[in-house]
Amino acid sequence: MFDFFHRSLRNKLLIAFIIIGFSPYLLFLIYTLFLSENKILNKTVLEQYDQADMIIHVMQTHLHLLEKEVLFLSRLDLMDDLIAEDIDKRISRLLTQKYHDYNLDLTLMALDTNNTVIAASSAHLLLKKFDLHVNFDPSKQHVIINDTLYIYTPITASFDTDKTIGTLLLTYNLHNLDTYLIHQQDRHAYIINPRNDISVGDRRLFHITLNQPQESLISEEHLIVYKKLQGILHDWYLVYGVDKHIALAFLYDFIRFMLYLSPFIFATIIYVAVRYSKHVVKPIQQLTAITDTIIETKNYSAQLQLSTQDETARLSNSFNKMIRTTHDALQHLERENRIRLQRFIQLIDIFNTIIQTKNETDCIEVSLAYLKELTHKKELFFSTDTAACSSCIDLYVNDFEKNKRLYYGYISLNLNAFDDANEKEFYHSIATMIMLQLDRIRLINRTLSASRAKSAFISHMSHELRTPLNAIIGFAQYLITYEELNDDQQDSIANIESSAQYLLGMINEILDIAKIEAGKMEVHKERVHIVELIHNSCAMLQPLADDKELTLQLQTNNLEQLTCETDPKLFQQITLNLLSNAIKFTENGSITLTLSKQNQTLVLTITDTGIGIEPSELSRLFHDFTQAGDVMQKGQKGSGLGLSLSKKMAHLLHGDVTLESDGIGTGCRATLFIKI
Amino acid sequence: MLRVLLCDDDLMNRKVASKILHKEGFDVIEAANGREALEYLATTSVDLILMDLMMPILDGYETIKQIKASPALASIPLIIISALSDTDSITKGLSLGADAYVTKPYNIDTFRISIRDTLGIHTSHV
Repeated sequence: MFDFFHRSLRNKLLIAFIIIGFSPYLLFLIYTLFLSENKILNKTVLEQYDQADMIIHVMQTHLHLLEKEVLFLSRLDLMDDLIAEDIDKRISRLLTQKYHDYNLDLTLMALDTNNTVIAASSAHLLLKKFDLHVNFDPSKQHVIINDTLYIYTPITASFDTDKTIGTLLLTYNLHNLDTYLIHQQDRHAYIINPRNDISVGDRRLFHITLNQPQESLISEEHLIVYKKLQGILHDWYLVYGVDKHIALAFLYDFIRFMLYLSPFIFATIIYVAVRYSKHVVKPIQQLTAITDTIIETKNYSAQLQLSTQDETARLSNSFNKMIRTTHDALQHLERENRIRLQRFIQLIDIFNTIIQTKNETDCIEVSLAYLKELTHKKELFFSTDTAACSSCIDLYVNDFEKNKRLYYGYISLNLNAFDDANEKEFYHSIATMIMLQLDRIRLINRTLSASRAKSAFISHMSHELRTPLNAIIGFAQYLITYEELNDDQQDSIANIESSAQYLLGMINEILDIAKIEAGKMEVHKERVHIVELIHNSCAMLQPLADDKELTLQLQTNNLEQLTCETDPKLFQQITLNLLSNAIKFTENGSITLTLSKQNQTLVLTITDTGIGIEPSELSRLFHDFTQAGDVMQKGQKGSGLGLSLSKKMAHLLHGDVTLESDGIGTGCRATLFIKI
Repeated sequence: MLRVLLCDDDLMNRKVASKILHKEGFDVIEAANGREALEYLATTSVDLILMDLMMPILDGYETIKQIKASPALASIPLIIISALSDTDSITKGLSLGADAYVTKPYNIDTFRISIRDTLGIHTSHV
């Protein structure tokens, strides 16, 4: 649930806007609901006091006027007539007149000193004894008994103001005051004397205990104030009550209005919050969208357009600047890359060309031509001047004889003219390449000349050794062929000839080995009939076998027609070597040649019944000039080169020669393997 | 009697070849190098030339070239007798126009057969 809040700035803003927007309304509502009621009630109470004061004022003024009226009437001259005549009709007329003027429940009467009614506003009272249950206190001018107010004043004789001739009395029913009290649906007032519980007005609506000069009370239904009256009615209280619901009606209406309004206000706040949060977040969303587009399309030329003037606009400006900078940097990088790639290709091209040059002059010329083309400087030249140009490309070569570096010359290209370090490196690389090729050419030439010298030596040695041998063999054969010799001479000459032949064989073998080691032994492969080659070898050596009465056997294993690609000379030489070895070391018995084929390998095994070899000596036999120890002692001829040479020749044919024996007296098994 | 020009710088080799050729019934003229051989050829007609290759002053290759370049001498049968036994030398020698190539040390039979064959082939051509 909190993800909704945490993952969206817009939602955060939305919540913030709603809280900020709604809280004043909510506070106002809470205030209205819980605090304003008392305030309104208190204010209403004050209003009620004012209202009560006004009623009290009216009532008191009314009573005070009555009091003044009584006093006024008592002072009239007319009142002297009270004594003059027992019953004065004129005073009665006046009092009646006044009674009508007031039109209230009241009686005006003039009493004589005996309390007999002399004149009255009502005729039936005349001459009646007026009995007051209380005495008139001369110090006061009024008295209230139950619900009747008596206002009285002595009537004095006009000629002697100290002489009282009677009393003017006004009896006033306090219920007259009811007209001054309020009797409305929502508000009522009454006066009450708590001492005798006599009240005027409707007191049914609210009963209260009066124990303070004034107080306000709030009941469930009413708001009541009471106040003690002054003057004539000083024992009385005015109680004034207002229907509480009526007083608070406006408040309740207002609250209801507020509550009815709240959904609209809430909807408005949400609407505004949604709109505004959208508005605030929109640039950020646009920023995100354009960033995503850039990531997806790699189009760094895109720009963010915002119509706002605020921080988001500044953000978008910064973003645009950043994108522009990135775009420029990428373009720069791309340009650089293109240049580097081009330089790299050029470097490879130069390398390919330079490496093909066969001599130093070519190498320098080709390199110079390239440098002229690359730098567009036709005046470039190469010089071997030792006073080297300080900022030019210096060339050094290796002296392989003395193993040190030699100054070779310089190319007149000023490297300091290049501001770009990469360009400098590029030309340095070319210089390094030139120097490597010069070294390579020199090394090749050196190797070639060494090889040529070796070849020349081999060739020369071969020639020089064969020349005297030709004379020896030639003379020996001449004597044997053309001269008549005795047996002893014949034998001696034959010995010379065979020794010379042996020497020739050895020289040939040594030269062959030297040739192989110098890499001068060339392999000329052609399609040959293998069995025929083996037959030829056998035929060549048959006389030697016959001399020792050995039988030569060839087992071809149905490979009579086999032809394969190999060098016939090398193959035959190996076969002859192995076969002559077998004959040489076999005194009696037989020699068997077995031909077989295993996959792509031709196998020729030559098995003899000769003296055999100790297995421990087998591997030694392939070393140059080696024969098995006791074999030498038996005076066997042999250079000790045959097996070594055969193995080397087999290697030239991608094959091998192996030798096996179970020990002295068990014969020997030589095997030639050749890949076909 | 057929006349053979024997050109070889090695005296012993000249001697043995000369002896054999005499026994075979040839008239032998000896030369120690190519220049001598050419001098003889300029004045004397021969039926066969036996030419060594490695010689001082003028070597066999050059001598053969000059002989083959001369219309008068080009048709004389020529056998190279050399101690150079490598393929390159043999190929080079034969490509200059030699009729046969015999490597030293030679077997007397090979020598005789080679001469007889060369002359025989030549004779049949003539």
